Amino acid sequence: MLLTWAIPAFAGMAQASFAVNINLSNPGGPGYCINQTLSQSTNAIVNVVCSTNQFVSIEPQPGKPFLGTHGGAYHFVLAPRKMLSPDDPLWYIGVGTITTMRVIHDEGREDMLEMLVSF
Amino acid sequence: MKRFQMKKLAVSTIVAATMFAATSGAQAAGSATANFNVNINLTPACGVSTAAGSVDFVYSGMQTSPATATGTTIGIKCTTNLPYSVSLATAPGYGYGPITDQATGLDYTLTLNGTGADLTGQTGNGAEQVVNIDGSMAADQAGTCPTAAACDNLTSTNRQQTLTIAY
Repeated sequence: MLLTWAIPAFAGMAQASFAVNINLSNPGGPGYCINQTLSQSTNAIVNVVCSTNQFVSIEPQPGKPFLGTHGGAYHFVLAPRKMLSPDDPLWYIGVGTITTMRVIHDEGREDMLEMLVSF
Repeated sequence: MKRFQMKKLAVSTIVAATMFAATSGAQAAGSATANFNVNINLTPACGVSTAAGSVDFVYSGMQTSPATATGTTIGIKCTTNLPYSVSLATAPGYGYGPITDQATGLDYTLTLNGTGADLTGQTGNGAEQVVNIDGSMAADQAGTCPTAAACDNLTSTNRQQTLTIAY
């Protein structure tokens, strides 16, 4: 199928180019910060640059979790360096911010492995 | 004595006239003329007679009022009576919306003669016709700079814009 772009028929065309110059001062405006790097991948590091003497608070939008395109940090209550076994009881031990959990010795188990995450 | 001088003058006049006739050859025996046509086939056209300058914005991040650019003009010359249109889009009537500058992330809109992206219904008159190119930028835009310092868009990939004249 021939793809055609239906530009109206004109006897002729002429073109001219010109520059649009932009001079941006005070980027982000007073009291705002700008991001130097932005990545859509999980665990990305985003550098935020602010002018001096600013108090900066990074928090999710009201009523929304701090999740989405930039991954997000999950605060779990787990034991430091503790690897859970399916036979372990439900523990609330230790405090840390992690994003992964390793489960070991699950050979031969047929029932479901459940994990409760409270936040 | 006076009579002799007059006779001498008459002889001199005859000699001079004879010499003029001999050198000019004006006394031809006959003449013939021939006419011929000069045919001209004119293909009407338009062109840019004076190049456009640049549209310049100065913007402060999160400014509370819209910014108006220092516009520029372009000179267009078309064959007399040739209809033409000018457009900031690919062609007149084609979509044209706000442009986001690649470097600063600021949105802006350009207009022709303060009316819109298209200037239709124009007619050439053989002389230069001037079109104004203006720009505006909405308020409350943060923009993006490599650092917290002021910046410009000299390295922007879409800093150059194109104007099309269709006829």
